[in-house]
Amino acid sequence: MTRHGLGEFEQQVLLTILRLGGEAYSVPMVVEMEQRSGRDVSQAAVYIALRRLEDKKLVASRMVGPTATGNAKERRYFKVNAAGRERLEECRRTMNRFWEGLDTGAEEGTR
Amino acid sequence: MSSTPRVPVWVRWMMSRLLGEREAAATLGELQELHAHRASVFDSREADRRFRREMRQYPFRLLARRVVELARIGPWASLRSLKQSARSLARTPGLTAAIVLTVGIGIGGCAAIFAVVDVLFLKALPYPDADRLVWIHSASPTSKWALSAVDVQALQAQQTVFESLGTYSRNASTLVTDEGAERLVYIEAAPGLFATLGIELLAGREALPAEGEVAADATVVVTHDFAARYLGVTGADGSSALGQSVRIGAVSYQVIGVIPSWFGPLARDTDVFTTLRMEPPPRKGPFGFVTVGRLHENVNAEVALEELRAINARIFPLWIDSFQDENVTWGMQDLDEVLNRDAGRLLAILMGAVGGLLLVATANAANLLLARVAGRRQEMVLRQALGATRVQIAGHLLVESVILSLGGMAMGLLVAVGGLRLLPAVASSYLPRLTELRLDGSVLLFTCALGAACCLLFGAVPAVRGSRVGRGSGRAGAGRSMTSGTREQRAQRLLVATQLALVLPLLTGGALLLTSFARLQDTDAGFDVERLLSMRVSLSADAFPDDKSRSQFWGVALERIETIPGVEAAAVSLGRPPNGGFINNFDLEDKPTPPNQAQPTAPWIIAERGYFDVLGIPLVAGRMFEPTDLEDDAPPVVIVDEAWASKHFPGESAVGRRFVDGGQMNVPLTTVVGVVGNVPYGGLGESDGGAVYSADARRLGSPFLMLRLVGDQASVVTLVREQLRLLDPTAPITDLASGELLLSDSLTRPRHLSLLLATFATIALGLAVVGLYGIMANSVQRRRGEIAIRLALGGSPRGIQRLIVGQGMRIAVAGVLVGAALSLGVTGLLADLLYEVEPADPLTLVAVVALMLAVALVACLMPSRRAVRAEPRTALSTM
Repeated sequence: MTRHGLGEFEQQVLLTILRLGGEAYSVPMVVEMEQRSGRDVSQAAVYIALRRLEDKKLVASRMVGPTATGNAKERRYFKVNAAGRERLEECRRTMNRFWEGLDTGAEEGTR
Repeated sequence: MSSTPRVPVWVRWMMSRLLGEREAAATLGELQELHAHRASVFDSREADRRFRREMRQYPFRLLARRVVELARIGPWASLRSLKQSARSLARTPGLTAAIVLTVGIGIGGCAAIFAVVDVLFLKALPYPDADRLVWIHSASPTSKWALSAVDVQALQAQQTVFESLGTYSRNASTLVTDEGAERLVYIEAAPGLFATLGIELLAGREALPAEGEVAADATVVVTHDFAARYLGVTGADGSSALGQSVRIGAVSYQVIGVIPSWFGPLARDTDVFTTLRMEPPPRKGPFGFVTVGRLHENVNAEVALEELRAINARIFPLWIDSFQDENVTWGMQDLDEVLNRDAGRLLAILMGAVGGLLLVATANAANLLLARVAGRRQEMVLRQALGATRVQIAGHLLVESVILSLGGMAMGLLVAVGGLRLLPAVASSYLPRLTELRLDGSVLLFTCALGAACCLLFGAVPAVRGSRVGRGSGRAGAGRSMTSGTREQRAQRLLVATQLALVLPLLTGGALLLTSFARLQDTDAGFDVERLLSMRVSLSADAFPDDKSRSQFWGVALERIETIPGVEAAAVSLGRPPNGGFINNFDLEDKPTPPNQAQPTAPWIIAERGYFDVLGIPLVAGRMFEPTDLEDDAPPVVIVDEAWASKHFPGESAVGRRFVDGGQMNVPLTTVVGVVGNVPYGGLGESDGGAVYSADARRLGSPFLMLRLVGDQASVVTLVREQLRLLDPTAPITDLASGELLLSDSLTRPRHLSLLLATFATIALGLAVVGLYGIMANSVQRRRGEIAIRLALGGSPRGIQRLIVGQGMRIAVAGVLVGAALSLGVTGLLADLLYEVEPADPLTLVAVVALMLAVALVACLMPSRRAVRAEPRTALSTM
């Protein structure tokens, strides 16, 4: 992936975190992504995408230790930062410019 | 909720390798949590299946990601940084060229000397099983010399430890061809020499033992070169030369064998090997036979030596009439040791000199690279900010060093190739076996290893320092800071001090050798150098077969030559100063040698009356030779020089003393009739213990013709040739040399050595001083703000200058002190090569130290003056 663009899967990962309240760990993300995409999502793929996004400084992560309420083990929580949000907006604007005034003819039938 | 499937050990292991313990545990925990969720939504078997699949995916996906990361920063990244580094080096072509050139000279010099070391000490002699070859010699407690005919015959008859023996002696005569005659130095070899050395003949055979008998026909083995030049051989094997005849002097030899043109270091420069037909010796002596033995495979050296001594002891009583010194026995020495002589020490000195230069050049390169790193601070900080790790930055910086050292290596190879071509031409007179020099695998490997070592040496420091740039002082130092980079400065100062410390021994060594060389040149050669011309004239053996005919020839020839305009005097002799004559032993009548002691020896010059006039050697006591001294029944007389007289008769007159010549018995005693001025015959600056002159040079077949000239040399040579040709049309004239040439030839080694060392030392000094200047200029540049403030606040320029110079000189003094200690340690190596100057000569050391400090002072003064001249306002505005 180029420095500016984000892959489709990466966008999905970022958007999922935002949908889950801006900070999330892998388990709810996989569940959410499977529901939204209607496909099986590999937890490993999600994890690696998250680490890659972290390298690009689009998300930040922290370890959350065992808590009384639920988890017995540590979890890594990811949070979309400002740069990540901006990059997502940029992707959206770019895609919108491509879609502007365009009709593939396929949309009607499926919707 | 179903139970979670087990996680296999290998998955745990790989994940904890790739992610670390904690992260791996958390990740697997989340995976198990997802499994629990799925088990509650789907059926548990589906959840288990997906759990197992993802669990196995994890390590491989992580691994794939790591590989991609490595690929991104790995070879491609270094290739990219190679391009960047090459570009940034090209931006400073002067600096790059200086580093490549100096490091290259160092590497190339070391490689060339290594090639010599390799040939002399690491490679076996180019003979099969060369480790079994030994030189068998006569040995007294103080010296070693060749064998006599008596020794050789006894050895051949009685020894059991050698597979074979090779004996030869060197001889000179004239080679007579259809075109005329020329002087020929050849070898008389007893049958078995080539077999002993393991030299395979191209054609024919070596002489059989029977052909070594006195009555046998004259036979000869020649080299392929000789056969091609004189015998019309064109093929590679030379078999067409067999059966042809070669005329040497008055004798025709039949060619029975052809050997390769190059057959090893022993007896090199010889093309003709006549078969030695040894006559039954009348006495033990002279000692002219070089003998090489090939030991049987399982005989050790001690056993062999024991047998040699036993045989010698057996024959000693048989020859007591002509040889009485009981201390003399036989010894043996490995052949390669004999050939190497004192080459080891010479090579150590040369290696030390070029190695020192290489170290200085490397330190210099490290320094310059360090300065570049300091100048590129911001770039490094930026790189780090963009996510480059320390290792990546260090790698990037190392790439520059790699490029530079590759350049140095390439330059070094060029220098080495040049050196290997040059060495055999210039150094063959004092280093053996140089014709075997090759740029082979081991030399290439050595060059590469040196290049790699240099790369590490000058690359490591800047790389480590540079990669630290971002730490601590890092981001603050990204701007311009007056205090940044103290670590680099310290490293730079250390490097410069090291360079200065290394330069000092080089300079001292160079200065000592130059001093010694100058003193050698100033030595009194004892003869009139400027007006001397000499040449060797080899009479044809046919026309002048005996002493009488030769004496007549020289009588007429010298008379005619002296009438040539420009020739003041002429004489013949065997032995030309400053190296010449042969060594002879004698036993004084008044002070006979005690039993069991070696007789004294002296250089022996066969001369005649006119010799002393031609060379301008003054008579000090007694008389010159008279014509009556040469009459048949005249008692033998000699003239000695002052050194001889004062050595053997200190405080007394030597005239009238008598001695036994050459250890012979039943011969009339020889009388000293005169004492003349000293002339060194053992080489300039060498003490020869006094020389002895005998009177009968005119009986010689190929003596030196010595001429004392007034006027132009060239015209005289032509006229002398013409005169000689009238008397003997074929006599070859060779070895033409003026007195100056004789002296300068004898000083080849000290001249080369001193010039080489002085050159290396000068280059090294230049590098070190440039290094010192560099860091001083840098420091002034960095502190220009501070200096401007000091000046603006009324600080005196002189005081500031003193501060800066003081800082630089502290480095210089530290370097010089260490260097002086180093010099005292290593110049001892030169002791044997120095003439009239001590290795620890205080004057030389003081002069060299003063020179270094003076040059260092200039290097510090220049930047300091620039600093105080700067306009404070401009200095401050650029802060």
